Amino acid sequence: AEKCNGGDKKAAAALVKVSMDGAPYLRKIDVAMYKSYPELSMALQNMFTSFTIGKCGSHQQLKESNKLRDDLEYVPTYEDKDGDWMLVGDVPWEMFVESCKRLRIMKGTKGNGEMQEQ
Amino acid sequence: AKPMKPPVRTYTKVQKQGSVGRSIDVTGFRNYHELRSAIACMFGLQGKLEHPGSSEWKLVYVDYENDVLLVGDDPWEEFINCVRCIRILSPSEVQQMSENGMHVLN
Repeated sequence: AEKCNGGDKKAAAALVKVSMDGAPYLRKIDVAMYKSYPELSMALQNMFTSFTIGKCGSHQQLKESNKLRDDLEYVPTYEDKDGDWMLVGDVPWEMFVESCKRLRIMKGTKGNGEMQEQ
Repeated sequence: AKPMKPPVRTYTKVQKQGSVGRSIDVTGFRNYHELRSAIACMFGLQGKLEHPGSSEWKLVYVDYENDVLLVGDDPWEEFINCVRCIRILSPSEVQQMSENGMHVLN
């Protein structure tokens, strides 16, 4: 990751990779560009829309609310500074932006929170 | 005003299934549009790669962490530092990879 984040000129940018289970390639976003979880959700949804059509309703969002734990098929998770994979939405937004190193939209696990190994 | 490392002139492979691979120097381009146009021209795909949103053809790259990413998300200069090889995906390859996950490239 060091190689890709070189240069102090982009101190404000927080470019992270986004993977989605089953998608053919990853994307990158600057999480610092967004102001809240709902904004990020919309961005992610639009980004991967071509892979989710037919799998999840077009109106469906990766909400940060508790709902994502039981009624969504895709669950946004992130790797934090410590290298742990955590559910998106628990910590305050600013803290998330600082800590997020990578995003992964996991195939949902019917609310039991179990990870599926890749 | 921005501090720039002297660019290392490296050639990056560009590949497409069924075609002979090519090598390009990405630092020779100024932006994504120039890169896309050049690659489209090399592989006879004019009109298919220049406007990523309106085409089923996708340009992806493998970075130094071995991840496969869509070309165009990074700021251009970041991309130049990260790219290891570029691959052109036909609509049917995209489809196939969506089903098989990302194992195809690995």
